[in-house]
Amino acid sequence: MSKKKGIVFLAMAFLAMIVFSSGVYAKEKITIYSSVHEDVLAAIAGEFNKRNPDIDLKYFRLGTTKIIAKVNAELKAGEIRADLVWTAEPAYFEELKQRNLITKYMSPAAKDIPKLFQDPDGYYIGARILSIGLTYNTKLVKEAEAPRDWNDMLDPKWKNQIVHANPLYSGSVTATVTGLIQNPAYGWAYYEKLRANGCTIIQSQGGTQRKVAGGEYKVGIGLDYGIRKMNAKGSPIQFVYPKSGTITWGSPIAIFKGSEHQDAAKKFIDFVLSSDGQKFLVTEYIVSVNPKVASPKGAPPVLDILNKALPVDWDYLIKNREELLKKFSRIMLE
Amino acid sequence: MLTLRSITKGRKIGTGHLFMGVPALILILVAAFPISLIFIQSVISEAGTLTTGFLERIFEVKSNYMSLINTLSISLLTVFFTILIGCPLAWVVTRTDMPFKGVFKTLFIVPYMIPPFIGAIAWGFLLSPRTGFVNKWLMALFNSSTPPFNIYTYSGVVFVMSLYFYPYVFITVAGALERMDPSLEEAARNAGANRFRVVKDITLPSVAPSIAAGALLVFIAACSNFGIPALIGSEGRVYVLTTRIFFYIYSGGFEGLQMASSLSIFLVITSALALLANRWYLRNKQFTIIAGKSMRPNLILLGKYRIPFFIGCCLFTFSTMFAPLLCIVLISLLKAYGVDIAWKNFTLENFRFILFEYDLTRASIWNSIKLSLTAATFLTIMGSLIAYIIVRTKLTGRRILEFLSTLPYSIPGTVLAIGMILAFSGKFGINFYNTIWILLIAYTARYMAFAVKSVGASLEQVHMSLEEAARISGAGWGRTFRDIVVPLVKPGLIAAWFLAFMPMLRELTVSVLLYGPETRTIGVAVYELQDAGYYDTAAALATCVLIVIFAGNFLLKRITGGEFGF
Repeated sequence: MSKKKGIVFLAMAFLAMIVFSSGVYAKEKITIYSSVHEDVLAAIAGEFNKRNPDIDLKYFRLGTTKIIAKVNAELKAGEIRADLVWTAEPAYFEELKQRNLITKYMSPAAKDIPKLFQDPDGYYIGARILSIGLTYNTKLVKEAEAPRDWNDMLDPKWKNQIVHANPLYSGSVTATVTGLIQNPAYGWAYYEKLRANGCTIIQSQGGTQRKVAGGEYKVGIGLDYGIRKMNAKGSPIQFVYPKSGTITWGSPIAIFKGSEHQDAAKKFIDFVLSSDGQKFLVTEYIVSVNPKVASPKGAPPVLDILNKALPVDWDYLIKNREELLKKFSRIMLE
Repeated sequence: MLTLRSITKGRKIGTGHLFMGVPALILILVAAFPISLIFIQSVISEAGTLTTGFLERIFEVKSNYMSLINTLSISLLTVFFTILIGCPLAWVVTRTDMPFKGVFKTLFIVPYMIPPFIGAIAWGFLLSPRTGFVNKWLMALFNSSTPPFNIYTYSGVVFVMSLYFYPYVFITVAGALERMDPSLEEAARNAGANRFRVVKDITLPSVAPSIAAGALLVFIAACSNFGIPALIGSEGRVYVLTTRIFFYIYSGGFEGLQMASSLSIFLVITSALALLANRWYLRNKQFTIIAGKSMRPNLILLGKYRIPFFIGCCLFTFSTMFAPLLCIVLISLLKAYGVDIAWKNFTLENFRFILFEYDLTRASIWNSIKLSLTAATFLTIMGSLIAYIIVRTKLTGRRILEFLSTLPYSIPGTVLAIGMILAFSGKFGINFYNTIWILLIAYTARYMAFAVKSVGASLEQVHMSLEEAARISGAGWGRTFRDIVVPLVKPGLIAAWFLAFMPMLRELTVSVLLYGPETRTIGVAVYELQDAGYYDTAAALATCVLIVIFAGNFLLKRITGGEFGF
């Protein structure tokens, strides 16, 4: 026993050393919760910290739904433990605004950014473009036969060959469903027809990319930049902006009201929105919200995407989120 | 002291019994407290009043019933198959003279080391209806146009779960077989029973408590598992309780969490019933087969069956471990996901990125090793003491302790993580949020059941007479524990340590909500990579982790002369 106790004691002492040694910081420490991919965050945070030697920005990368769960749990335990939040869909930010959990900030860097991506009251602002469209496996589907518009997915030639992610897991999929069901040309009937054509629902947008690239499904509905990135690396997968319009929005960033580092957090928002900050997103094949920053290879300019986008009313999602998820479950999952 | 003496039936009491109170208190703090906070949430409305509204709403939804039925039937089938796989494998590697059985003993627990979401991707590679290698190969072989297997089904979930969870049975049963009294089997042989009759009538019944302990762990693991039903079941529209709970947690807001907590109560009830069933099964059985004397079980000579057994084990290892591992390694060597598997597409780029460019690799491997070593050691010690209280004393409330030790493992990891945030982020005076301590507490709580079950089963096999003899000869409680109990249950202790250590090394569901900026773990790192779409890089990291585990295991075994390590 005593030997084992000794080992445990040593291990605990060792752990304590590690934990406490990391607590010595003279810098102002700020934290961001974000669904932006790890390597992009690492690059942006690295550059930001270099330019602001007095600030130390730390990031947590988690999927949107997990961030929401984490923030909710933190709220119940007392207070939110982050200064900034930057996740996929605008409806969550509208909710945060209505619950009085985020601060108003009109960044001077926002002047170049289209009004559509900004909260009119200035509580949050889109900091990267996400677009939903179609995808296909280039090994199995010839370019001439590839789907070009939303309704092409209903063609019997894709029977049981369509994959779509789950809005319960992913914020960007919730946005997809919101956009399609509101549109009179599609509505819930579109999903009913997709189901009848044998559409499979899997977890995440990442899963859609993997399954189409791997050839398990020939076509799918997916998120632009991940597919673009896989394509650039050499995977047999292609993204298509639908002819009658993509579903597109700015993934918003905001400052939590409870943050004690409002000024440092504002500096970060300024940096992310600036063309210097945005160029890190472009290297990850993400389209910038700033029209002055060129789009990544293979993507049209942001204003062209906007001109062709389907109109989406985010208020609908705020008011009907539970109903929407339930109806989606009933049509596509059960 | 007086009260303690009276409840332990007048046996002499030393400081040991008081010492046992400490793990009990810790268990209450790390398990009962956070989980009860979750359940309190489920019956208190946002306004702060008591309500049962959503408990009623849960019963209104038909898919909640369906998922409950699926959970129970999938878990029971999984238990059945894990016993069917785990017991023979344990017997072959411990009690026969099959060649290379030491190597197989290590190989048979490999599935346990692969993170489930990586395993699910690998099995998709092999058995998905359209692109699975096995399907394509069989279709070409038999000139057929319909794929023989589809992993994305109900039976696919049972299949993958069985292959993931049989090591629970394997490890606990192997531990029991290693310290069986051989004289019973010799007696049966002398009385004219043939080899297989001995196995059926003597060996199997005497390891029954260990089978039951392993089966209980499998049942609870299968009920509370999220990764496999989410990645494999959902694609075939097979839903279980954990995927429903996930739905409620992430459908947003306050109410979602309440519904999720209420639904988790089903899982808690299920595991409580499983514990009771286990107890009922063991009620009249006497399993004290270790009673001093010779402790080296004799080997059964397989004779002409040696080679067939060996070939069987090779085939099993190849098809259930080597094939999926090969898939992971192949993916990690590809320059891009989805390209043809051909020499021109192979590259070491992913490994270069993981080893030299990605900062989080070393940090996350180091964090996980540190956490798992500490938590496994800590919970083995506490778990053994708790198991001792449960098996050896008549203390009132010891069944509650048993239930509490299983509780954190029987609810979904996400629910446990939320309980940890509620309990340990400062509201009640303890603030471990975003530190390594909250992970350590969560890991300890989550895997405590492993130590309690595994050591408990070993203790059931050891006869009281040995302890009594030591006490009569004048040894105190502590000395008896150290010199008699610990050496006798050592295989159980080692099994417990490994059972907890390995899943902690790749733990994901709890860590993902609790990790902090400086405490990323292996599971989180691999998950984040694949979530970002870097499957090839995620596979490279998983491969590196497996190499670290194998190397560590090998070294540990070498250093300790085969005593530690599998």
